Amino acid sequence: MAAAGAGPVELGFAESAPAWRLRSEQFPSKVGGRPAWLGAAGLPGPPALACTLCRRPLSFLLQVYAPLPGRADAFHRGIFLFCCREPPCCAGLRVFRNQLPRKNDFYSYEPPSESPPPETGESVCLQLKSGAHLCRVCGCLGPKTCSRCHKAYYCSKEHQTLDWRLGHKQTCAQPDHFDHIIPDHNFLFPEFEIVIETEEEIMPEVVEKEDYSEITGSMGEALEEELDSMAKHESREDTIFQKFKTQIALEPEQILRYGRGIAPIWISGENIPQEKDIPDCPCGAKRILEFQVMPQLLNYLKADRLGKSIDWGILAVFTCAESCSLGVLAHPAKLSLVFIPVNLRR
Amino acid sequence: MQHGGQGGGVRGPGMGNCGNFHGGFSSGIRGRGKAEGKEWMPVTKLGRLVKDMKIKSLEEIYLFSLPIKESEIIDFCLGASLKNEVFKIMPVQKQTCTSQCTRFKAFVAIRDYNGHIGLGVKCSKEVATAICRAIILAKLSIVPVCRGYWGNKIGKPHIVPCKVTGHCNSVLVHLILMPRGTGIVSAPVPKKPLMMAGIDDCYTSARGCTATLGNFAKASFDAISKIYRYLTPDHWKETRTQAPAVATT
Repeated sequence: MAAAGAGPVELGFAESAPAWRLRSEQFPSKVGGRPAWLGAAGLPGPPALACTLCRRPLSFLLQVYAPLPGRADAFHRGIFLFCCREPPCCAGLRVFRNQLPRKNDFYSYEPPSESPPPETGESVCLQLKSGAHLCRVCGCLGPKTCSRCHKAYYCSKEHQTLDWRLGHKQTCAQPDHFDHIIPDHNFLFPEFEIVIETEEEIMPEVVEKEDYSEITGSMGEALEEELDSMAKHESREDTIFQKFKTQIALEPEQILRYGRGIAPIWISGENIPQEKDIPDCPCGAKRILEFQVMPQLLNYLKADRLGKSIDWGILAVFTCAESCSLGVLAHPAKLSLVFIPVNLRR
Repeated sequence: MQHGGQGGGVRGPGMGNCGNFHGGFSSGIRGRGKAEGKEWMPVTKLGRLVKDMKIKSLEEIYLFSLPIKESEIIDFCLGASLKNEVFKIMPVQKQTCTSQCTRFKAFVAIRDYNGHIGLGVKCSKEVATAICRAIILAKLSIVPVCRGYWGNKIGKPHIVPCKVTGHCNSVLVHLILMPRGTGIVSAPVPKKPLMMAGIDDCYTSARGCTATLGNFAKASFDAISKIYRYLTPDHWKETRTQAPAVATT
């Protein structure tokens, strides 16, 4: 199915959901919070999750549960996006893909139940089924521990200092009482579930195309065209932006556009990647567009500041067309490539 | 029991497959009203800052020359006081191999009576569409108008603070300041944008092919927008301000 023609585009919308729906067992697609890891082995370690520019730990942005039909080894398949949200960097992006067959060590063969689990217990699970511990702050692999109590796990020194200041200082000294209530470290994004709908087909009449190439007639006509474009103060940038606005006008709240091999819609004329800009997967297959993240997501993240803050135009994620087993988790060299093809010009 | 991912899946490839594991995943949980009372969802950082009221007025945006890409920003800031006026709808024709293709070009000016004015031009197959889109373009091109005094500084400012000229192709429009009570002395075409800008007294002098309404209107609009670019003595004082870090070109 991977190489088949592009199907309809599926749009993702952010909705709030109860916490139990966003855990790994439910195979969620979600924004923010902690990552609901798919496989419990081979998670990316702290070096893989450090921003390439500023070396600080990346925040989990979103994950997409995108199984491939017809592929036994990709019955469960998840794509995880991480980004750097600390000013002044606000740039580094990383993508990981993980896939599991239906019969695996971590989940049952049957689909998970619809109803919420009866036990409320711990609100956050900090240990994977394989026994690996997750960082208290960010939910990623946490190999380091607090040197005093050895009960709190962290992925890096930054998170350990953050948690220390925000409450671990008090509870560390009490060995028998370990609080399961994790304070808000202001590191994670607000949590939402991504709900999917198929996009309706846009009528061709609605999208008006300006055909500048079709100039027939006398010289007077050509002058008219020129005057037209000058009079409108429109540059190519403006036309692309207006076209983008028309295309999302039917569903302005969309945060994600999913479709393997679809044509992406761009927000700006700058930085549009060409065919040759996208490197091939190490297995040899080409990389095709899997999904694109829209700027409307930033409205939900509430991370805007007057100063520097995280910002993007379109994030287009390209993955291996064959969805090979090479590009699985914890292989930073084999990441699906992420483009930030446009940062809106201001 | 159906499982996503086996035998081609009940739904097509893509994220929708997980729906089978969840059962009515996208049915009814959303309950979203479609296309009714859509709230503005900003796409640019400037839009988000305006919607969150972190940037409170258009003047802050003008101070740092940030490009405004979304017309909803203007709606948010100026809102109810905006009024638009259609100058002219002119049919323009293009020769195709079969016949002529007629489209309508709309010139729309938009203003609030408080020193902001914008001009939008758009061509479209239908008149209504052309006017709608021209209004959006007019909102995007809103500029502030600076007004001043001719003589004594009593009452409200009523004229351009200095002589300005604007031009568009061959048309040149020259605005000259006059004492209070003169009124706008000009041809009907530039009279409209001048009145909209709140300029009460002005002499104008025009040169070039003023019969082309498009160019004439744009030239007078250009003259008005040049006023703020002129460094008058009251702007000489140095001010230091911190620009919002919306990425600069």
